[in-house]
Amino acid sequence: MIRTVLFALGFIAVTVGLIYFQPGGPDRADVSSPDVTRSDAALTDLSPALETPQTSPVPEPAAPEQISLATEPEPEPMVAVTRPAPPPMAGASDDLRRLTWDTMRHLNAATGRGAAPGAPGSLLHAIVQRSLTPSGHAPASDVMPSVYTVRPGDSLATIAEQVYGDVNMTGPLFAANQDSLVGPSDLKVGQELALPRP
Amino acid sequence: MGRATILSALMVSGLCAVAGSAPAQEAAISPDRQQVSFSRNGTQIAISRSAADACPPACIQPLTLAPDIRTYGELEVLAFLETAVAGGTALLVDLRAPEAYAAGTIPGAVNIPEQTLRADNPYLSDLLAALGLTDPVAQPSFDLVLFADSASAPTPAAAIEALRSSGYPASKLGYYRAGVRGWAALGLSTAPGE
Repeated sequence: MIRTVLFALGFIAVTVGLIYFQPGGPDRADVSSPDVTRSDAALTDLSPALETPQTSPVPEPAAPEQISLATEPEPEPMVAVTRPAPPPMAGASDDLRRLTWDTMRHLNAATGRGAAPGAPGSLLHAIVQRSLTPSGHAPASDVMPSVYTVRPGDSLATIAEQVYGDVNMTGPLFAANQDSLVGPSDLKVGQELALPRP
Repeated sequence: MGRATILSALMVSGLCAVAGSAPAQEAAISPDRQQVSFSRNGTQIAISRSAADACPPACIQPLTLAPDIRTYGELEVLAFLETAVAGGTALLVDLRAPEAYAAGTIPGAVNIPEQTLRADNPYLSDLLAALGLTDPVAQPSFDLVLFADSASAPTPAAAIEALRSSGYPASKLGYYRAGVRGWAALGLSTAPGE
């Protein structure tokens, strides 16, 4: 009888200890810090727009939301960050891009002209990059800096879009910074990221 | 009686499905002519047209699309393939969709679907660059002979118009009017697109 009670008590103690300390779980400091997530990025984009009407009786409507979202315990799934967001163009234009892409690939193969299709720096690479640049968004500048300093609201995808004008560069960006990043969402404000050549 | 009718209807629809084309219907000859009628020695004669696709857009094309665009027959196309295409300075261009091109085309033709040449294609400039339009010194632009399905296909005229408006020299553009169907109707060999 005593053995059974002791066993039960021990089990409860271990369970409570595991629940409290959560070894192997996400770092508590990381979870609570109001750091860089995609939801954060959307909110910081919104907040200036929300604050512009000065007559608004509600002071800083974005602030409480920001906290509640930032402290959301569930970390952002990796897939959502690494997979590029759908291009901003319509589906028909997407088909047209693929069609032109294939046409040029066959054309270059038939004529023996042009660079390796899809290789960085080739014509087709330029097409894909340009097609993914949202209209009204500043395209990637000619002079490419080599280091980017993370700002509040950044995610790898927004940095890739900002720097390269191409969300598909999210993958290469993460790959170039794997030494300093545990996961694609593991960004700290002020952190310096190496920028790979497109 | 009713059963026989249903059976024959089924057979007809089955034949149509095998043929893989829409049944022919009354179609206009050209945008402004539904049919042509004339009299010869007092006898009234009428010519109408039945085609799978309606006109417009599938209207019978004129022999000459524009005064400065040369129209090719089969012998001219063969000579064009033997000399200009073989010399690497020219391309015979199939304007149809990639699926149709893959199913069978004139041997040696390349596929540039007509819709990729339209002005609303955001990647048109890159395609034109691949044709040698951007840097004529380093890569002279190709002489092109364009064709589509048949002489009633509107795509070659549209493609030539689009190419000209994007700066392609008219002297480098040609039109093989009969298209793949005219080619095959003469017994000339076709090949699956590359």
